[in-house]
Amino acid sequence: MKQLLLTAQIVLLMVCTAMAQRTVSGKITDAAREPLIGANVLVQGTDVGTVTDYDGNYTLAVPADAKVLVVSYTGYASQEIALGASNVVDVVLTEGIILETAVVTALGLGRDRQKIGYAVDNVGGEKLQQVSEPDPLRALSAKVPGINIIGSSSVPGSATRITIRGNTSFLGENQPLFVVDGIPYDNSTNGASFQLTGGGAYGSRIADLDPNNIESMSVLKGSAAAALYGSRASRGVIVVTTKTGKGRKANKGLEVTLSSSYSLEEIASLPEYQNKYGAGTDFNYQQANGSWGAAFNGAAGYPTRDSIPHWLTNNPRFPQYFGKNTPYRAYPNNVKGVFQTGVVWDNSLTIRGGDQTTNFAATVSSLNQEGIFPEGSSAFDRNSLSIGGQTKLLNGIRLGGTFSYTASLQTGPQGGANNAIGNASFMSRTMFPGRNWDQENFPFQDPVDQGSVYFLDRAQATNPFWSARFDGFSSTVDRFVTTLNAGIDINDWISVDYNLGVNAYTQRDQEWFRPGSRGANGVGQIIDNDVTWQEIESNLIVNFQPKLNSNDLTLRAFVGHNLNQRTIDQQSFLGTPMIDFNIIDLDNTQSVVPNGGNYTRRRIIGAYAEAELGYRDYLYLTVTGRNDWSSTLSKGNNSYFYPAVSSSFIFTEALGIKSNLLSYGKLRASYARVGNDANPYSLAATYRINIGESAGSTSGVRDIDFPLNGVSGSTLLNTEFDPNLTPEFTTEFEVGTELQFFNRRVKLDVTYYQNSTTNQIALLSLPSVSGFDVLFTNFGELSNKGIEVGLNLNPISTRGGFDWNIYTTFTKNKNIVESLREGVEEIVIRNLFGGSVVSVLRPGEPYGVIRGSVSARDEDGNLLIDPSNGQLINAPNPEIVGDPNPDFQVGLTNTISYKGFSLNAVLDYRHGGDIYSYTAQFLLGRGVTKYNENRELNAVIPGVYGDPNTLEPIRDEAGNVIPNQTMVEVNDLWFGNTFAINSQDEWNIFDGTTIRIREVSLGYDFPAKFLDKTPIGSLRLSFSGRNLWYKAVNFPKYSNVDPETSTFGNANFQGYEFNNAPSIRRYGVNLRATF
Amino acid sequence: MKQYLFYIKSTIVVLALIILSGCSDYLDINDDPNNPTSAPLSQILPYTQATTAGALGLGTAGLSDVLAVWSHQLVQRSNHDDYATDGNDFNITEPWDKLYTVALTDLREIIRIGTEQESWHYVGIAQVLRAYAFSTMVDVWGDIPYFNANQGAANPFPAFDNGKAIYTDLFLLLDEAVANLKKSSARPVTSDDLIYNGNISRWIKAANTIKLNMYNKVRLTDLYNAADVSKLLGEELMSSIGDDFELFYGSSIAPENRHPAFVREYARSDPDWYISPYFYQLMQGNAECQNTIFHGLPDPRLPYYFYKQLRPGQVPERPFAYKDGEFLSIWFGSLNRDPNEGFDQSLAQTVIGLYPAGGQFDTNTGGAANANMGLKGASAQRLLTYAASLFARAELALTKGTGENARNLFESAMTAAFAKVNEVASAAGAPQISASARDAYMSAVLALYDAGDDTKKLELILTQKWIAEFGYGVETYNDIRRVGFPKIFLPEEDNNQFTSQTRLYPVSLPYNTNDLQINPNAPGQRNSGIDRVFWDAN
Repeated sequence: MKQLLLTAQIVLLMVCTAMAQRTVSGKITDAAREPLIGANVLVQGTDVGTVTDYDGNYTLAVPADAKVLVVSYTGYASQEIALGASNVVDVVLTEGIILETAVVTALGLGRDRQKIGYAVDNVGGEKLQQVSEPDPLRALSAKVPGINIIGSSSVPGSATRITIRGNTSFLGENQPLFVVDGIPYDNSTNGASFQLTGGGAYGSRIADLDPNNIESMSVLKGSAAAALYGSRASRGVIVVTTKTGKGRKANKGLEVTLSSSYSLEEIASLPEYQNKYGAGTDFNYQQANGSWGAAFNGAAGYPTRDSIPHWLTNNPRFPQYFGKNTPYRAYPNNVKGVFQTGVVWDNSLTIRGGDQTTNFAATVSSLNQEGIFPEGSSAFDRNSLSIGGQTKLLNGIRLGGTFSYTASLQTGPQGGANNAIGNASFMSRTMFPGRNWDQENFPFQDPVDQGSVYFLDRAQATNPFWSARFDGFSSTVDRFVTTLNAGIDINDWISVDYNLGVNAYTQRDQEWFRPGSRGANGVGQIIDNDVTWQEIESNLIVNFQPKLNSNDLTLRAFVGHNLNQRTIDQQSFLGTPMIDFNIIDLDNTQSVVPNGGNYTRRRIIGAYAEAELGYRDYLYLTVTGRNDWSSTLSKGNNSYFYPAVSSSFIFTEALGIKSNLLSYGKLRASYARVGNDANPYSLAATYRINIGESAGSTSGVRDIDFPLNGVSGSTLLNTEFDPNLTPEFTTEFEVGTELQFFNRRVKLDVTYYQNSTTNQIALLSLPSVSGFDVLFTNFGELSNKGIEVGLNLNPISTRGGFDWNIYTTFTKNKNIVESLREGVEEIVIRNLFGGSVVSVLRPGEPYGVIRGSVSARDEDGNLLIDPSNGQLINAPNPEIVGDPNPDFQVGLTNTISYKGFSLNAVLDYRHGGDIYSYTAQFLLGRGVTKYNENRELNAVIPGVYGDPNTLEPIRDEAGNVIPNQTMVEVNDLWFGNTFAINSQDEWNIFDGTTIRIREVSLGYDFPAKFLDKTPIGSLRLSFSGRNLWYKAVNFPKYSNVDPETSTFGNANFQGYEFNNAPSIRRYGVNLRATF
Repeated sequence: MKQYLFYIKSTIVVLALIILSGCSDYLDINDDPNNPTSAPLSQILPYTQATTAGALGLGTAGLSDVLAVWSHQLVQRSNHDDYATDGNDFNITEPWDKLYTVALTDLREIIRIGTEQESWHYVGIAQVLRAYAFSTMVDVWGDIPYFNANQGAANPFPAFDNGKAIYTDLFLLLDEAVANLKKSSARPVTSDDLIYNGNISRWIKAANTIKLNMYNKVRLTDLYNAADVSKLLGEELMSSIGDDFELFYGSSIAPENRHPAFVREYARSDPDWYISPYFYQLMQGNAECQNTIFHGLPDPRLPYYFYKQLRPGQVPERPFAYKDGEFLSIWFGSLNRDPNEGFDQSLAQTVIGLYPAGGQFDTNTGGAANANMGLKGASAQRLLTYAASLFARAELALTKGTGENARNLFESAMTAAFAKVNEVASAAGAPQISASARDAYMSAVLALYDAGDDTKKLELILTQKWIAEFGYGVETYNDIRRVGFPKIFLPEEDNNQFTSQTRLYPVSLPYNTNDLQINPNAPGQRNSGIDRVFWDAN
């Protein structure tokens, strides 16, 4: 019976269509008149349509009453063509504006932007490529509102921290989840050692993703957008679609794109050094660190000298200098000369091909970067191969898969704070050498023991040239990502999709100090660190798109099932002393001891569903829900459900507003809740076997190791556990509007959100007297409130092809610790150096404020001055001395295009965000910049006399405080219990407000007619510059420190700069051709 | 269509199977495969012993790092000069953290597990260590958490207890320890005991001696119990240098087993400490010394105590602050005052020698200190020695009339101190201090003793104790505050324009700032110059 009815319907349909129709044909091409294969041609308001063939041609039988054809093609703006008398309709589609309407959302689903009730930003891959920036995250800076990006270092391949809408977790991961072609992509920063006390500026693992293969990036900022991704969604999701994973049809049967970039990199800005005084103190020459010594010839006021004994005059290893003098003069370029010009070579080839049912893409890329550190000691090489394809089998099953492999190798100098025990940093004195140190031409290697030779004893600092050549770290990563997807349309409104993927890598790090370094007691040491990471993700989704009986209502829904497993296995070894000077291999050490290891495995089972209900084409409501079962929580607590609801209302459509002034208006609102589980093994205390403190498992000072004289030892971990952990939840409320004015010349997108994470699973800091450092439990609340604005202005757009576009992003986020546990006043994020400056959480304060030591003051706030020396007095209790969170950030992208030319400039401004800067402190304290060049005078620190024992002001007979009149020399003003070296922490915190020209590029697209006779389909040549200029307005003048740096990579404690290398600037030339 | 329905049905069934049946097993993976939830006592004990020794001793940011400077044995070019410190000082925070979070928590575990197992010897040893650690902590910090400390989540923010109340309880704890040590133990303590190698009778002696030493510290308070002291003197006490309460390090580099002070003085080519010229001059019997108590009486232990890197006649590369022959150092109180104090003297300064850290015996030939010298760090961190216990008994006999002969005890104490140096010397293959040299020195000291009044006698006992304690700063720091002896170096009275003292002598240490910040039940920060500990009656 059913069958009969179906036949009747078909017959009826045939009859109807046969009654009145005509045939329209034509050719769909792009602007270059290249045929577009597989473009959709649809009669508006009907199901009648077809796709273009290999030559871009189509033929379509259209009903007689058809009025409009809609022509669309991925990556191009759709066009509506009114049907006239002619039966030939050729259409030229233009590229680009497509991203306005279709956005990629959770689970990689492409959705119509207007239906979405939350903020999503799509960034096309082209904005991240060929801009002289090999790191796709850094290339994203200032281009999307609501995100905060900070690079850790100028070491090639080093980590980049990104947060979306602030931190949602007290101590856990706060960076977004990356999802590449449907599979989570781990972005951990692994490394052999803690970056304060040694080691290198390791990369974050998103660096394995080939930027040349990025088709688009979609930033899902809020919980509502991301909730379907489950537990990790509370920090936002970045959904990356790759060229090989997308399955876009090629323009021709075979399309080849070649892109090539070559950039040079150099130090963006050096401090402005003084060249009047050499090493010493109090205007006397000494073989000392600080340049507070005698004036060079020509500087008046104090006695000087022409020459000094050569530094190696007493060194028996250098008889050639015995009794020799060396000129006493300034070497103005003795810092610049340490660094070299770096090079970035980035080449990529993409091949696409296919037909109506099958497509295939492959990208092969090679990046070779050599950084600014001497002796070619820093490099990042990334080679990757990605392939992917999609096909539809005859039985209707869709099958697809991707495979990508990335091999990367990062090498760099040893970093960290040089004063850490056992460490030796390349940067130890590099930025503030004595002004009379000719760093470049000084012998750097001892001819007998091959160790470092420097102006200072080996025990103080290693020569930077020696350090670059002989100390260092490397990180070798092999990463495989493979996905398989299959789908079938069960009927015209039910389809099933299955996606399975494995994302795995191995990382091998090595760190070494050769014999004769300051590091590792000068005997040589090699640390090996091996990490294996594996993530398996499986998603089964059943889609429903029933035709409802109402013309006004539409429904789209799906249910899904998710399995996820993550395994990490890490083991480190330490070998010391080294035997052969040259061989970096554990076999080349006298003895090898375990240096700590870690294994965790976690699993999640998730079930989720979403329904989107549309009313007419202006009101949409989306409801989602997900339940997770986690392996990391106890049986009774491991199942948790969380919902999200969002709505979009296009009021211009609903109210029938058709005005040139307000062309489009949409309101959106959403509410979502996202649950999160704990880390594995967080329910019970365990012992650590044979771990000495040198393995970095406890406080950090090198102590003895076990086994001790052959006896093994175990200790209870200093973490106390709560066996009844419950899931934590982030709830978020978001409202926003998208408005377009003046015929869409002005587009404004504004979002306000507030989120709060409650009942956090986190480490509650315990005082040591409890017997433990931390208690892993549920407590507290962390909130974010913020505004994101994207403003697009298109002031000029002429028919002659001149187009000027200004895109402004504004990001403001307030990230506040609302509460900790009752009675708890503070949590320490991580101790640094036993707790001088330290990042803490305090109720009512912003996330991760810096607590540090301060100078004593009286009740009126006057500094107390020690009458014995005119210097400051330390206060007994520390205070909050800095807030690393920027107040707001503005990004400005100007794009001017005319004919084939396009000029693009990205400027940004970051307001606030404090940094504890070692470099600024040491530049001042060592007296090397122009800041304290004027020093032939004494100073009086404003304040009142105080008693260093009682910390009370000293009063005269009348009981009044006594203003300080004790003078200090300029030298002591910056080296002593005063303002720079040896000062209290508060004096080394600087405001990070920065103005920056982040990116400029000038490109030219060669016109098609130039290329007619060549096999080249399109050709683009561009020049790009990066970080061309910056100004940190509140740093000490002449220091030129770049606040956009962070010693701790992508860790939660931010706002620290412990002798980081200076930031860099790049200039590049880029070529892209298609064939 | 039927086929499709079948697909859907089977998919749902498979899904359901995974979710329902698989669930329990699939998610049941939350036990850490690499780290155990329990450990044998024989592994916990050595770790806690090493941690305790490290936290109190010299070299690992232990308390002695600061207190050896403040007891004027060593000088450091650091903020410890001029008695400066604060609650962020690494040398304050590290011992505090290590003792509470590592040593005392593990001791709590040993007592808990040992009681369950009836391994009474482990329990007794843990109680002795606990008493020793806590009494020392009260000595330097005064009031500290004790009764509710180390209870983890059950009591996350313990209040601070009165030092005197803690001492009272520790006396009882030591009695309990002795009782446990005298029981039979389910599991014997063997070589995992890094202090006494499982010798329980030595632990009993240590318990009694620690208790007696504690009585000496509180002798000016009403906690002093003459009857108990007299009873203790009849118990088993330390009776030879073999009974010394000390922890031996080794010479292995990886795993790092060397004495931490050796590593810092010899292995890094960047020695951390200078020898206090005051201490050096006093041991020399130098007339220039501010303290002339042993004037004209050079101490035969000098070459065992210090190692001079300068070769005979070698001119230091750089200007220096203090040099006597090949002995080179800086003065206490000279930080940023003495223009020559800041020059790097890594290869010229005199470093700590064989006796305190397993370094080099000084044969007056010089040469840069390096990691292959002397015992290569295979030496002991001495905590409470037999000699120190005799000095304490001499003090008690002299001041409290315990019935023992103070002079005999003083003599035995010095004999034990010399024997200890000779013990280390023989381990290192260095020459022994001859009996004649020792006797000549000792008899001269005893002659001073015999000639002196009670105050002089007390000063002599405590000054000799100070010399014997070289390398462990805690005990002398207590003595200086308790008795006023040994006399300390006074930078304001040395006629040296480059030394000065602006701060008061610290009568206690500040608490770990971090702990005060985190703990709502913590008191305010201590003012080191003013806030005394309970037994400090002077």
